[in-house]
Amino acid sequence: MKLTQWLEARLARTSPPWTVGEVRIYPGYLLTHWEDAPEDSRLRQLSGWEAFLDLVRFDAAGRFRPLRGAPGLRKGWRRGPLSIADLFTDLRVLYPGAMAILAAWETERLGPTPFSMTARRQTGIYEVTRQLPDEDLPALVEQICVRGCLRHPLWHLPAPQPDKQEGLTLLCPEACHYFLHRARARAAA
Amino acid sequence: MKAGGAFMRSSVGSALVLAGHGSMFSAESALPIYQHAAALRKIGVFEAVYECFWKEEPSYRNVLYEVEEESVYLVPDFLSHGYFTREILPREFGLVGPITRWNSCEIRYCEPPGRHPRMAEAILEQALRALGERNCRDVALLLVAHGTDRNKNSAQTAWEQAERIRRSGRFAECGVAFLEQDPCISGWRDLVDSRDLVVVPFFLSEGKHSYTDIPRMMGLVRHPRDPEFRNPQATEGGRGIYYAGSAGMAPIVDQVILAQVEAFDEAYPMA
Repeated sequence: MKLTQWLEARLARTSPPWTVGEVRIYPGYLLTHWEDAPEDSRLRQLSGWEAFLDLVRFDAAGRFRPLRGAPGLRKGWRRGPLSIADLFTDLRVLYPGAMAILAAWETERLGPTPFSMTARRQTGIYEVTRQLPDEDLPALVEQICVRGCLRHPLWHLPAPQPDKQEGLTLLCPEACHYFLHRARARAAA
Repeated sequence: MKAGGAFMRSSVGSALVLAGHGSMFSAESALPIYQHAAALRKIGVFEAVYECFWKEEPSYRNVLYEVEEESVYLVPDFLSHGYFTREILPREFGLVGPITRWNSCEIRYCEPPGRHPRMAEAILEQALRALGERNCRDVALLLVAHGTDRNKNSAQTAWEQAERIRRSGRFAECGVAFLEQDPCISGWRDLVDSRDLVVVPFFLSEGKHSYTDIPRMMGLVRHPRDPEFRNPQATEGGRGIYYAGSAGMAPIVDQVILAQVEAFDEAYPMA
């Protein structure tokens, strides 16, 4: 099954609106920040990939958002109505890889990678992450992943209970570079 | 890119994965990868075009979950071979050679665009844009790369491209300088004889090296982000310096990426 078909079928299993991270999808595939109402005439209709990419890459203060899963997506915009293919593309821009990873997880094709394995294969500046004490890991995950990111760190925490009413879960199968960067600082200290 | 022919046929049902570096601090680092991907999507040669990054999302490790095509051209969006193309990318993608099977797809690992002979066209494109109406025949082109004593490939690629430009005869001369190895850009006055020169940063994206480091090391009064910046800049010796955009930002780089895919197919024809 193609990923767009999977998404269409996945959405059809639950009632709209559907929540993904900080966005909501309304029927006809309208996309807004979850705190905005799609009928609000003050919302800016976003068209074109450059404008949308800018929206997701910078916060309201104009600061770069290297971690798309981090809370802080700007409000006040609307996308759509979109085709299912364009919706999939938009979600890919918002949360890169997230829908494909969720599809892989739900079809049992995804194996999370424990942090020890991620650290073991690092070279260069991240090689030092191998020295991160095991007892430091939970606090780092709490700080960076639980409080600082909307993705669920499958590589460290038990898998979330499937609650289909809560929308499409953002999953993280392996510690990302943002985490490695912070882990490196901790390990070096 | 050749129209029709083996390349076009082999690309049906195939995907292009552009692997860039990205940054946790600078939004500009990933910009050329997004631009190249968008332009190549528009051309429609591939079923799909995906971006992925070492330091942004999606990661090298995760991008293949998105790929649905059976044949994947993996192009490292770098200017030369080095640590990332020789070690990081093969490791993160689990490559075993030029061609790797991953689940149901075949990964075809191409050369970085910076190594292709057509990259010289990107350098020329940026130089000519900076020169505007100025005739380039009496101007020197100075290509400025990063360089490092730890890896000779970076410098080698710059020298090769400079030689191509020299052979083209378009400019009075063509020199090479580096940020972190000899000949250093701080000695630019002795590297080219022509009075006026156009400087082309041999980097994939704009950033600290092109906006700050090179102008500072050359002793330029204005850097390209200065609102008062204009080409040419006059120096104390009366020499005029035209400062160009980074080579990797030239629109023609899209075609160079395609040329690397084509070169791969020529070296490793589809079964």
